Amino acid sequence: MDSKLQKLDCPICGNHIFFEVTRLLKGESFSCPNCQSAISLSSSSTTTVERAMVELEKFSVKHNITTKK
Amino acid sequence: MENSTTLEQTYGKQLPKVADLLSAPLVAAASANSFMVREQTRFLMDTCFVSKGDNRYEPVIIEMTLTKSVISEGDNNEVTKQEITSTFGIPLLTLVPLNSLAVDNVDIDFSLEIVSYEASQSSGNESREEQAGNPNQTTTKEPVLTGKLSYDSSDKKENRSHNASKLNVKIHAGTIPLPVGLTTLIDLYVKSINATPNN
Repeated sequence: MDSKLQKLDCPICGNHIFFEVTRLLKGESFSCPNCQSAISLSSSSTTTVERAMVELEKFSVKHNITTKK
Repeated sequence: MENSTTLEQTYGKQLPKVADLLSAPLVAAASANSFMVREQTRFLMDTCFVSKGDNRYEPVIIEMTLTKSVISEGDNNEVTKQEITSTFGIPLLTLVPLNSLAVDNVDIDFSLEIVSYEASQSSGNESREEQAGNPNQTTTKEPVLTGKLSYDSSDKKENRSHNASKLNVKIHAGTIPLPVGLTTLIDLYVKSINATPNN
């Protein structure tokens, strides 16, 4: 489920930036293909996102939600 | 009806109506979908929003860092590359990779031996003759078929008993697109992201 690519609009040029939450949590950054700006997760928010991902995992296991790769 | 009474005695249970046989699996699938949507909404509200009382919820905001390279020219015509770091907040809702699981296909397959037919009046007790005298009165008679599940005549299995009955319900569940309301909300948040330069 978390391997799914998600997208955000680049705050500079509005182009799509594709990212993975699990890699953001590892400290990786993702670049905008248009303006080369890079986004990453601030260290102050890591715990909140980690907790949300744990809750999501519990929810997925409880309801047996899996994504075909 | 006499015939069906005999069958009821034979089978020891009430004979099913065709409408019930068709609707039961569909109602079960709809209930399952409804349950999943409720659970997903509860997860979203518990994880991605903070209650502020009076049924008011605020999204949990995550801080992100934006790094951008800027090329500047110094006093000595010297070109330097400088990295500028900004921060911006996005709702947690836009980060969490949500999925919707739902029953997206229900196949119902059965053979039914019709054992009775009756036309029940859905409202009022007037007979057709009484209503004939009143042209404004509409006749609302609903046909009700009752039957017993029967074997498939095309089933050539030798060990099949003639009394064997069969009701096959195939259910397929898969991930479906997120609800339009939720994607609209996520789009709204994503489009309103603005970076603020760090001091």
